Amino acid sequence: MGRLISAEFRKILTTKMWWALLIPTVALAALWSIGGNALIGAVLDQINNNTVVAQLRLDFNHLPWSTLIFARTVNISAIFPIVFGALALSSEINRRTITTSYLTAPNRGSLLTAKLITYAVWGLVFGVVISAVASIGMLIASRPEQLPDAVSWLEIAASGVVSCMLWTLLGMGVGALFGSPIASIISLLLYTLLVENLIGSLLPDNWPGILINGSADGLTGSVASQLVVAKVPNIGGLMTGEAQTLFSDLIRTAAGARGAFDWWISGLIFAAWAAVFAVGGWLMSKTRDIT
Amino acid sequence: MHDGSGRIVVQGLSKQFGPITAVNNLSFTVEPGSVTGFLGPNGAGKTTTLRMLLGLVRPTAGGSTINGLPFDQLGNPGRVVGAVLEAQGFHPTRTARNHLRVYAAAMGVPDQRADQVLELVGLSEAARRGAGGFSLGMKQRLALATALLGDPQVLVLDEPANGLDPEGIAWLRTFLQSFARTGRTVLISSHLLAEVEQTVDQVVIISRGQTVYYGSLDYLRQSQQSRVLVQAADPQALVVKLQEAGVNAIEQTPDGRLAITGVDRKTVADLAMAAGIALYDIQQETVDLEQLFFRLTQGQYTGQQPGYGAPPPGYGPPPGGGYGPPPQGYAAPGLRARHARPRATRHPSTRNQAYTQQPSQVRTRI
Repeated sequence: MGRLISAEFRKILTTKMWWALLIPTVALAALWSIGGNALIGAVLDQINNNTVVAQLRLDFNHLPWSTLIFARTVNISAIFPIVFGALALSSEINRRTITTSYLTAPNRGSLLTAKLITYAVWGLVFGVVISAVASIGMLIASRPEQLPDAVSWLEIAASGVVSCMLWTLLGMGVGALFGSPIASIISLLLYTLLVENLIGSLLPDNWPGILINGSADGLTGSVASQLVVAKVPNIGGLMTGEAQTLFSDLIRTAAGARGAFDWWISGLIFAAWAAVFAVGGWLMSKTRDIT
Repeated sequence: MHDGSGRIVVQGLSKQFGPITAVNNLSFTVEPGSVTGFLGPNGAGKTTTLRMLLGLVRPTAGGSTINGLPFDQLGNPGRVVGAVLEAQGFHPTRTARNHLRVYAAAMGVPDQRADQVLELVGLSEAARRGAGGFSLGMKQRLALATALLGDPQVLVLDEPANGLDPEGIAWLRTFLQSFARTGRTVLISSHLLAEVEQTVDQVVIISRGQTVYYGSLDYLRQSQQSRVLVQAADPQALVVKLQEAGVNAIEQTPDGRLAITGVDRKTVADLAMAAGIALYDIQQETVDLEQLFFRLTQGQYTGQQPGYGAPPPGYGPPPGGGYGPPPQGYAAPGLRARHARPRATRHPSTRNQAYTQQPSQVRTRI
């Protein structure tokens, strides 16, 4: 197994794809993180200048708003690890290198296992990079009083890393299922960026939270929104009862986690989705004729 | 563990692609220490058979073993079998050297082995270039280098001569023969017997997914005797004289000549001279192996049943319509189209030439 994993790493490192995807990942994460935090700052300035807010003595400044932007940044930047994962097997099929890969592996199962492990590691790498860029962007652009504390930061960063790893494996499963890079990338991006948003908007209550994107966003978004929601009572004496619930829901939606379950339930649902596609791709690869 | 015999056994192998039977109950054995040619026209099922042998395609029925085991039980198959299946399996921007190092890692052979095999196939100079910029011949060499990476006991090559220049073909011939002489096994496929005639000892000839000949090439050659064609003033008298001399294998050709098998030109001329029969024309006709191969496999294109010793349709050019509209039995063009090979670009007329009278001047033999 070690031999095959080292071969998989060589496959990745001897072509340009990994850094060709890592560069836009960094760029997109930086843009969202810096832009998002700057926007929140500007919006809060507007609210604070509002006389009504001032008279009601509502204080929106001391909430960890930057964590919401963090979750959003991870969710959008994840499209690159998705593409990276989708290419894992499908590009080998497309480039016909899969023939030699199968001929030099004890059996198909061992090659697929090696790929799964290798791409899990690369998913973690993407996750670490995205979380790091999102954290740096947060430090640059967010107001100090809106930053999370150290423990909260660790929580959201960890959720971001896990999310990227699962996205990579899910992408790999879809790629293996379709066997074509273009078909798998287009359907993955189309679904995550468009189709699920349409379906999700039609579903009531917690239903969007069990969908693929919904559960993935829930993993990072719930961690972030809970950090913010926990501080909602600090906003002011008027933030009670229904107002508090309404405002909390608003925050969850802002975090991209509308209808999502708790972070760990979301994580389990998303892991199950990744497993479904990985197993599907696995079974497909076991029987696919390489002609 | 595998038995280390180097023997390839194919037993009752069949493959159905939807409605098309690509391979039908195919059986043969390849022994170590020899080069075995695996021959048949395009679409006969050669590639499918080799891919089933290597575990890339799942057979519908039957099975195959290398060293006594199916491919997926060989343990570290790259150290047992090397295969050249197509000259396309390279990432265009990955360098030749890196390509080999990837698979060296997978097989667990040292990285220096990559440079050794590059040297062996004459690609050292191109080691740091992306395989995408390689010519077809260079890709074939790189594919061979990949096959040799694990120093395998068995070598399986699917149409390896494609794209090689005459020098490369001569090199490949020498290489394969010396490889087999060390007691290892070589199975090489081709759609042209002439291409591998000088390289192989054994042949497996298939047509429409079935074996039509399996045995030594020498035996095949001996089974076809040469004929003497004569145009005599009195054919009847000559037939009587020949029969008196104990020559009975006499046929009348459609153009009125006699075709006499089993004797040489001199015997016929002497007999005619003694009997006072004038001869207007006499010629010795040697059956080219290529024609023999064509006859064994012609069923594929004409829609006839392939068979041993089907009566030769004269010794002229092959029956018309050989390359006419493919009959329904012709293995799905759609299936083959996926691995479009350079050979498909050869003009059919070039090949017809090869089948008729002058094969040697048409293509280089390996």
